[in-house]
Amino acid sequence: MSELKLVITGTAGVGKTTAIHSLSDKPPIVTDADTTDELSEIKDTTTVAFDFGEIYLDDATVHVYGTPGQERFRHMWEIIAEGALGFILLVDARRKDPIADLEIYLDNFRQYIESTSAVIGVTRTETEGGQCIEDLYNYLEQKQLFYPIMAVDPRDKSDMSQLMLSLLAMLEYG
Amino acid sequence: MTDKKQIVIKKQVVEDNLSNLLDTSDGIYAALLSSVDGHALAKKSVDELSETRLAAMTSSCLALGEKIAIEAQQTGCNFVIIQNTDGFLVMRRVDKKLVITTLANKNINLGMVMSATNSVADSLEKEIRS
Amino acid sequence: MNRTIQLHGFSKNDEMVFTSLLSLLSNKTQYQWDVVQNRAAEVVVIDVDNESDTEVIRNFERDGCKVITYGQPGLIDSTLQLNKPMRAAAILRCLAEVSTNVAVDKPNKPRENEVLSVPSQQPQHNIPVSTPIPTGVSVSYRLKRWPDPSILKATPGATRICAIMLKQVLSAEEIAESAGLALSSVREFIGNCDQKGYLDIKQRVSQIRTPPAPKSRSNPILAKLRLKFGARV
Repeated sequence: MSELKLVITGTAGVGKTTAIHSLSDKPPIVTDADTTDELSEIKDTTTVAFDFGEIYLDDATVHVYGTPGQERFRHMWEIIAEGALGFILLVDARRKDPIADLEIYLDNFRQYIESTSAVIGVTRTETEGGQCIEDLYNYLEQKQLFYPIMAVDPRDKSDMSQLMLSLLAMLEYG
Repeated sequence: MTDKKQIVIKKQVVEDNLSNLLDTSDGIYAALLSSVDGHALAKKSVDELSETRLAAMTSSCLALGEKIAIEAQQTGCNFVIIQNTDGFLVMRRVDKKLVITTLANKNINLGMVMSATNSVADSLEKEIRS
Repeated sequence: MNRTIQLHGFSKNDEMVFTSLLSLLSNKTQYQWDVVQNRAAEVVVIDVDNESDTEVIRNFERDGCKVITYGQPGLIDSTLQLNKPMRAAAILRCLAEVSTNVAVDKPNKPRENEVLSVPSQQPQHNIPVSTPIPTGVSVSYRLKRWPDPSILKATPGATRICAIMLKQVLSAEEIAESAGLALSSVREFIGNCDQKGYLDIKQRVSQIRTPPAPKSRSNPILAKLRLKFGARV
């Protein structure tokens, strides 16, 4: 039987591990390691393999995987993305170039997303979030890509539920 | 709380240790010291070696191995070993934030590789803590 | 008694859209409005992109006509301004405003048919008032922006409608068929989105079109996940 899998990806520190905590029915498995580079100024640890959460249904379990954010862990992106039902891309509105960040994940996961679907969650939208979302929509339109984009707080179960519902709608009707 | 103290270790000490590892046997053809979050720090190898990718991959591997051990209700993961038809990779954590990876071909006994890797790891840990 | 409205400087297409909208909004306006041509009306809507002679506006006003200008946003300094592209909510707003200023003997409709007041800024926590949008095959919609949660929660199946409308230009009937939802729900949702400016509204010239086959790739697992995360359908 194939695994039922959803994947959350995005830059380091955007909130992937936190998002999986919000979605998962039990505390997720986290394969992280201490940060030793500039990321250590904002985070003590970083995911180096994957985060693994579970959503229990009556007769099935859906696995939610979080990828490492850094491009040097691209080998894990390929392993994790294979066979996924859909993708959640998280973008940090406060980073220098959110569009460039999104482009990395759209490019690297393109072959998988094209055969499934994706939604984009924008985190840290307390300031300038609206402009960031507008810029991302304009970027997608130039690329003739159509994905939902919404502001989310990965800690908020309601936000993450709304993001998940949007992804499910895209998978079924998009 | 993660220990944020910077690890300082003399470059010469590292290179000497990695050289010792390769000198153990002809079967050992490369050794890599990297950080637990996937950055290559030093290497010694007989041939060309893509240390950048290997550092990231071994970091994932070690983290996964340690997690699987806990899931299997075993503790104290010492080595993560990838055994292939034509050789081995042996990974071991060094102190808290480093990983040493030894690459060997099939002409050497796995036990010897593990033992040699252990010696070098212990030596590096002693240096870090001194 | 019916009220009269004239369109000046309108393209054939815009005239058709305005007339259709007016007809469909008839149960939302205080009075019944008839579009008349070539005779004096109580209200005139002037397309100022096509009629730039300000003397024309003054002439209408001198004749006792209430003038509504129709043009690009920001170019006209007028309290009675209908911005392009035409929106049902904006038409209602303008008609409500002229209705308070034009004297009539008695309203054509009973008092309970009140004009909808559509504020220009909707507070986020309010569920927007539904506005009927033309739903004939000549008008189609595409979703430009994923709506905020208050709109998604207001209509059961809203995310489904959004997914369908994000990539395709469809009529309300086609959306309802693809989504497997009631037309009234789709219309309600379209009205809510229109008020927030989330839609591209297009006129299709060709009247005959085979509706797209329903695109549901419904999967029992996805359906269970939907329910788990709070979907009502």
